[in-house]
Amino acid sequence: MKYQLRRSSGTPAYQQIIEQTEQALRLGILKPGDKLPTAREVVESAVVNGNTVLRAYQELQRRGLVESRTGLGTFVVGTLGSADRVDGSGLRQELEQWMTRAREHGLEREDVMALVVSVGDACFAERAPEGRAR
Amino acid sequence: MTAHAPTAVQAEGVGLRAGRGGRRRDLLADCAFRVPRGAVCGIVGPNGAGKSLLLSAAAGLVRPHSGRLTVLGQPAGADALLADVAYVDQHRPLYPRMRAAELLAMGRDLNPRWDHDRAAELLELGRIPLDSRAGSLSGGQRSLLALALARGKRPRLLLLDEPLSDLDPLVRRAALGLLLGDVAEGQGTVLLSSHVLGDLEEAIDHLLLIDGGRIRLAGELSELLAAHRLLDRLGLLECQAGLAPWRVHPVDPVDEEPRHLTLVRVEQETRTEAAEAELPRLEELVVSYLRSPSVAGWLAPGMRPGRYGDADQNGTGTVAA
Amino acid sequence: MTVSSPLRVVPVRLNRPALHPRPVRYRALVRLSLRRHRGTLAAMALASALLTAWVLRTAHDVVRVRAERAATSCAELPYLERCDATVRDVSDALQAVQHAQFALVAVPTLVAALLGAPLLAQEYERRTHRLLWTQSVPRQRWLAGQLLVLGGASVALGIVAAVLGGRLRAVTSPTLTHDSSAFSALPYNSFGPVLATATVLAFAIGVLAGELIRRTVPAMVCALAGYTAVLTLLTWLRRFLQPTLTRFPPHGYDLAPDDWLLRDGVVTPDGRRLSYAQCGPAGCPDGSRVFDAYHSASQLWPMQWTQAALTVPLIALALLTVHRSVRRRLP
Repeated sequence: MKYQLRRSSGTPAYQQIIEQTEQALRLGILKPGDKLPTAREVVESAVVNGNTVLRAYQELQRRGLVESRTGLGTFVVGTLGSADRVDGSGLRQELEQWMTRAREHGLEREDVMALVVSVGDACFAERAPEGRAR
Repeated sequence: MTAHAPTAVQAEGVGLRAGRGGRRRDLLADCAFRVPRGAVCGIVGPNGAGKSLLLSAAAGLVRPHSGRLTVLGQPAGADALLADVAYVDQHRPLYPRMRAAELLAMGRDLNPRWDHDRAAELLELGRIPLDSRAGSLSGGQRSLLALALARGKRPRLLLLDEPLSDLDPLVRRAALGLLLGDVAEGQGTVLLSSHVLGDLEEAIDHLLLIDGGRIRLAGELSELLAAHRLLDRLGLLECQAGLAPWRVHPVDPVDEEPRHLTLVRVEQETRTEAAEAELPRLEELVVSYLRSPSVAGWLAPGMRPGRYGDADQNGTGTVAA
Repeated sequence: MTVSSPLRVVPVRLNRPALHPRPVRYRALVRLSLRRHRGTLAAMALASALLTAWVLRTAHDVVRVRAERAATSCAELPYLERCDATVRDVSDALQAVQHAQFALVAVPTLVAALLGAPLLAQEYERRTHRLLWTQSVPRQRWLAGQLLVLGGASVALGIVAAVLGGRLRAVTSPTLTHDSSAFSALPYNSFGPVLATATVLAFAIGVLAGELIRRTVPAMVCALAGYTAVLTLLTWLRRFLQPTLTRFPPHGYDLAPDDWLLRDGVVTPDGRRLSYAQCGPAGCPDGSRVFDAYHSASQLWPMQWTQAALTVPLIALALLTVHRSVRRRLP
């Protein structure tokens, strides 16, 4: 797990850490029991203030996704979305086929992403974002 | 509010002079601020504002001619502080004929907590061979060597004068990352001056803005940013007409040709009302204050000296949660 | 919104072993000084080796020439034609001795300019004092380390020079000509405790000049000027360091070659001392006796030691001033 923070994105760095962690949880890159990088590792690779990392980790802990164990580090305890279900459902393969078709139709990456976001917004409009329930 | 960490550096009415003999001139007058332990505090300001002088004073190389400058609970310059405070001069003085390995050996000889690995990490960043003479190194490599000497000392307070100015972007990020990592591990406090605000934005958590012989801004960066807003023309008009529910003090001049966005400071009591307005970024905050020298400075409450006292006189360096 | 209460840094991982602070020892400071000045020290060692070789060779020549002169009995009158070569050899050897003595007298000036003055001035000029004074060693201890190494080197050099000068004096004594009495300024300052202490004094004056002036070249110039002034003063002062002897020779001047005539003239019957010039055109008053005020050759070493003893507090004073100034120095 390595965070890549973008300076000019307008999103605060701690928010980017939260989002990237959540994304990793959704994609199954992080599973319960996994250890998050230490504050030092994040600070060194992303060159952010230590408080930024701690703030992000505290927020993730507040959301019940990770747990800090004194002297050991911060560990994943929760899950997001359903990475397992994604694996078994064939959804990923379908999306890959769909993307390939979109590319064959001459769509740019930005066009595809815009489409995905707009359809996503329409389909999931009635549901609150996950993880914020508590 | 969270409990405040004990103080790393505290200035009370500090005045500093530059130069020697008859050419002495006051550079900073009546400075008051405090930097808590565990902070990464950026010192910014125009050239010649006194950033270097302030860092020298904290290192005990310059004595304030008035006021009190306290470092880790002791008067700055006390012999007892020597092992706890490291300083990197902006000119990176090194003995040109000494080899890198010999300078590191000097660091080991002269410092009781010397950590060779921490120093060597910075040398590796600059690909500095241990047998190269300091005089033959490039400016950036000299900076890294000077930083290595300071970091290897394992100080509780690291004072860095323009530490990143002559490093290439990649090395700059890596070096800054190492220093921030030390602080994140609870290894102390960093005060660094810099011209390059882009580097500081994500790195620092406290800010001191020095300009015109005074401290213009001092405080926790998030607190400073949260106390200011960028208003568009409509928002500014609303405020001036008394229609907005919050009270502001403009920092950018408002009587000149109107700007697209105007930086204002929001009064503490009305700040929650201002949540909708846009927060400035570090650079916008600094530039606006520098552009308006007549606007009064502002010290965030946590940076005002003496208010919380310093219970931890001989502190252990561990930082409270 | 990013408005929130401040967060503090919490140590996430403290995997470093416990710290074992080592006290900083003088040995470390000495090692640093050696490393920093090794070029200077090596040059000094080389220079003193060359000087030693030169002086010993010169002394050897003098011994040889004197032996020749004695063998050819050219030392005695009447003067013989065949002695021309020997006499020329002797005067050449004495010339060489004078050159060597000049070199020995110059040793302290070199120490002042090349060893003492740059010691602190160069640190200030290169700002390296700011590097050193922020290490974990109080600056006065750092200073002590520097002084120990370079001061020690100048003591060693002073002793070597003093011994070499002593050798030159020994081979030319008893003096070969009247104008080279061991009391005259050149030989006197080129040997013994006077030269040894003068070398250390020159070092101290150099360090002081560097501390006060902070720039290397001006400090060198001032160190030279300062040392020359002090040396001139001491050279003038030395005549008062031993009691003046007076004798009333019945047949005019009869001092030994190594004695130092300070003043001569006549004592009038009413007890006044007049120089010959003061006697006037009428001649000295009747019944006057001739007198010689002088230091005898046996007073040479007491005078050397007294002057050396006077120099030591000067050295201490200069170094103490440096110490105080460094402790209070505002860079």
